[in-house]
Amino acid sequence: MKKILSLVLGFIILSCSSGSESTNQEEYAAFEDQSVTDQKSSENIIEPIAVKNTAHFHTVEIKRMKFVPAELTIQKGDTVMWINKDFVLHDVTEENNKSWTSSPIAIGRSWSKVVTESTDYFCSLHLIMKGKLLVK
Amino acid sequence: MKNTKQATLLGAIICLFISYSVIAQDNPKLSDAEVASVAVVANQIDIAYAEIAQKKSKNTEVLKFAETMISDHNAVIGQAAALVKKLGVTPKDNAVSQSLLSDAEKTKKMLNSKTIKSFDKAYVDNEVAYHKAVIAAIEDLLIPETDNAELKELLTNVVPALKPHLGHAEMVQKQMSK
Repeated sequence: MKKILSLVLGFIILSCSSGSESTNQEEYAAFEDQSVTDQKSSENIIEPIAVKNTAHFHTVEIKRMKFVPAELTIQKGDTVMWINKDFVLHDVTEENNKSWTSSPIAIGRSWSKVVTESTDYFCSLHLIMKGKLLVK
Repeated sequence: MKNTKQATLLGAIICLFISYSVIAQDNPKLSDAEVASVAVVANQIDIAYAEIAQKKSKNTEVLKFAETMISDHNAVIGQAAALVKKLGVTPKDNAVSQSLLSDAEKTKKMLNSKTIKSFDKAYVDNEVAYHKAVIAAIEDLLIPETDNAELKELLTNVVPALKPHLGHAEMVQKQMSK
């Protein structure tokens, strides 16, 4: 029964430290993402990936087990970038047919996709995390 | 049956807080090093349960859930380790860690004793009940009892991190009952 207490303590530790958004690149090296936006990666310098929003480029942040914004209206052919700002791995997976997936996105890294049709997506690692892209 | 189980859990939570206050009286405060030990041990135990699931389950959804638990709890350990390093402390064994480990041995025995057929339900039911109990304990007992504003805020922030694990476990539970 003391498990609960310890879990609580564990999460306190976790919450204390998650604010720093430190990147554990070494630990998750096995899950290299397909980021096309992090140009510094070849130099082994990890810099926070900035949120970037222009007319045809949109950013969805993944934080605290949520896609933010969860719903995004875009135009056909726009690029959407997902940044994993959480402390655990997440992925971005098409929900209805599993027709595409980002595979696990490492902490602090991003994954981008050109979107041509409205899509419901989710994180296949955390089934209740859902998002929606609406193509105008 | 379910209500009985919940009542038992609630009883367990109450016992937990009684035992917590006993511990708190013996040691006014767990040191950072002891808290770090408890955090790491607690996560290691959850990983151990998931590893049993990986050995015993043939259910894809259960296996995926177990994989997420292993990945997420390893991430927590990574965070705890980073904080410990930052604070310059070495995790220190203590009574709470010890009792956690002895409780875990019992649960692991229970899970290991299950047949392949009955394992999935035992594992997932336990995960659902466990997460519910933890969330309820934080919301109904810990948060109202906390005076320190920062601690209160921390506890409040913990709940949104726990709920996706519960939601996920419940989805698997539902799929299995079909």
